Amino acid sequence: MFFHEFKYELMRVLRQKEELFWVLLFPMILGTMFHVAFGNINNATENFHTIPAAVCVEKGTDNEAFETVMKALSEDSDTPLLELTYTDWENAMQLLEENTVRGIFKVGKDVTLSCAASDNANATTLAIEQSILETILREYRTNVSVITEIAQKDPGRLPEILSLTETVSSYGKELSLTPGNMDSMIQYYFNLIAMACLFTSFAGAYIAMHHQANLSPLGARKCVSPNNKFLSVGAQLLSCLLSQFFCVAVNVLYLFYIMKIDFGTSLPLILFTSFIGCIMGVSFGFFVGSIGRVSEAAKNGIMVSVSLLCSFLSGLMIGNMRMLVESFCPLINDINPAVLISDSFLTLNIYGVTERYGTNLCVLLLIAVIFMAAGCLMIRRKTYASL
Amino acid sequence: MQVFKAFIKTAKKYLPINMMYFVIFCVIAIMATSFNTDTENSSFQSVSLNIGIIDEDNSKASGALCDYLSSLHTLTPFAYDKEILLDSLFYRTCDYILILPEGFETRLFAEDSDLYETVQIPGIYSSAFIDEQINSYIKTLRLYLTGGFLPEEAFSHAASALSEASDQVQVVEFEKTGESSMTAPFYFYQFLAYVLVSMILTGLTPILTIFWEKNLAKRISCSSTSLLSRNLQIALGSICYCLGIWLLFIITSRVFYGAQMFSEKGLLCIANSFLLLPVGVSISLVIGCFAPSSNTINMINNILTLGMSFLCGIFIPQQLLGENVLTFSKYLPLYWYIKNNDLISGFGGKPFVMKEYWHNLGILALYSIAIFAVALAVSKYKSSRQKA
Repeated sequence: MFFHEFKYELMRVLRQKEELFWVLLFPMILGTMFHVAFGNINNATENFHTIPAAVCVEKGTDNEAFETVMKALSEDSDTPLLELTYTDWENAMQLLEENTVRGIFKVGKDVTLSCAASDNANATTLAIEQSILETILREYRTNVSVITEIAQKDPGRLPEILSLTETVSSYGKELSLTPGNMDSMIQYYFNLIAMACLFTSFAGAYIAMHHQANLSPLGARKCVSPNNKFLSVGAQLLSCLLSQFFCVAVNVLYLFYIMKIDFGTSLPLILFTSFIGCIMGVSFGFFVGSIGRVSEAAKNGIMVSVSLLCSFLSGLMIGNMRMLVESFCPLINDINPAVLISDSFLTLNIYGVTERYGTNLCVLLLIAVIFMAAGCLMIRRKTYASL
Repeated sequence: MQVFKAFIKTAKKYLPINMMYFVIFCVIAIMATSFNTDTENSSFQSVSLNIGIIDEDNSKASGALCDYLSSLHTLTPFAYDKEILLDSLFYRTCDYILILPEGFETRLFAEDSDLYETVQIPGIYSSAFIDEQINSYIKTLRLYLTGGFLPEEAFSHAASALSEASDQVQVVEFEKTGESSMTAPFYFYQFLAYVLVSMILTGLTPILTIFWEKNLAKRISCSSTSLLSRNLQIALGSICYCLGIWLLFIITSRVFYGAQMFSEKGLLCIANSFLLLPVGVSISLVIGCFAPSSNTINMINNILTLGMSFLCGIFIPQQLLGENVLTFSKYLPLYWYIKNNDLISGFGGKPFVMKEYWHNLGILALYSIAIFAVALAVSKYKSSRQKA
């Protein structure tokens, strides 16, 4: 009988096109949209590119020191800081207007920088590019004033000072604390999988609703059958869990192999975490489905609202939402299943299997057990005088 | 007007879901308005970022460097906890972590390299920017030290010399960049495309589906109401429904943004948004022709509206989308709507050209006609099949 119930639940899931859409197709479509929309965003906003700048040298001016600095910054490495265009003022202004260059160094008796007022979508990128140009100018002008000051104070030290100004130095060492993927856009995919896991609640609710005689005709038929209710519910829940996990796994594989999303960790661990997420989702649905005489539409409404609210607070719509919640009320993050699932992915990505990962999974399982127990308590030993 | 009355009665059923869309949209619009204030400055201002600092040296030199950086950026002291550091960087609450290890001051005076350590996202602008500033400060400091200044003198001279040299940037205002006063309404009208089309598809399609349901259509056709009258009444109902929603948004934008909406650019925005109605209705007609269930309508609605929003530049500005994506988006109507909206607001960095505005508006209108023609063709095909 266990396998009979198991098989029929599998067949039911395959025939429920709406359920399949939300768990299987919708995350896939949304993932594709994320990939298309975010594909170029880092390249356009965050990733460093050599900054194009124009240099206009006034006639009769020979500023060798500035020339040396510019040459060092534009020929320094594989990705030099600057890409310089030597041109006249009119052409440079034209290039600035077209945003072909981010600033114009005007070299005369003094050196000045001209930048366009920034107001477009790339404002942050443009503003940082302009700020880097300003830092270069600031350093150059400081060097000039220091040399002048020292030349007046102790001219004997000038050769040593001049050799120091001609070098481009980096005094820092970059520490690499993780081999994981630090691209902040990856969190949207983590939250997407978390949302898919929570959407498995629809299938869990279906099982609970169709085991209650006062909620569905199928439930009434099941109640009068001599079948062991615990066995029936257990078989269906197991079948539902596996089928829903299969759908979520297809999504993960799609993102991993087709969309080539770098999760920063191994696939089996991602799938394992998704499986725990599905347990949470199905048990949550089972709990909601077990609640007394509430209509199916209202229960679906509760599940959609809770799933989307949890996903919203986890950062599915606004990336920094999780940190915002953390600063106001960290308790919400501690019990929000979407945060727990996405944080497990994040932990795997950046730190690997750690205590934090284990804690997240334990809390998820604990919440799942509470929902499941509450659901079982609500649907067990029900008798009906009349239906 | 029996059919029209029935139409309005059915439309009322979808009022709560449409109100939900409306309220959510208004909340987002208010948030966007408060977040996106006009940031253009007539004087140059260097970008201020968030730096996390771990000062293990606690010396005068490390203090002086921290003081200098805090005059440019927001500094937050951190403890050396790998999880806190990496979480802050991952969520970008912190742009850069600077670690000043023990012996920083000694090594600075000894002219060693590798004075400090950083934890940063490699290869991004903010990391390059802060690196440049720290190196610039240390280099200046070393110049003073090499020049024979005492450490205390060098610290104060370096910081003051660098800050004194910062007023040499001239901001050039070009004609096109001086026209960004429409920032807040721009966001309103950008997201309006998603909400308006969603509301039309969610509300209008199920109503049309009901009227095209086989049995109901047969019952109406055998009544005394003529086919022309029935169609005209449905058309009137659709127009009233769409105009009602559109007017609601226009009034809302007037309330939010005041007289700005009746300026020349405001009116251009309103005219542009008006053409969303035939686009929404024609898509709704095509979907309605297949008489799907309400669940299927919901699915199609989500796919179409979210898909177009991501691809056409509603959720992510067109300037940030890849070239391949934009090439594809040109085949979608909302691309032209957003292009016009960018043009009006000056957000795309292009000067406003009236000819281009009409060109984009014309393409939007052509799309409506084309989709409408598809709806008619499908409807004709289906009715001929039913007769057969």
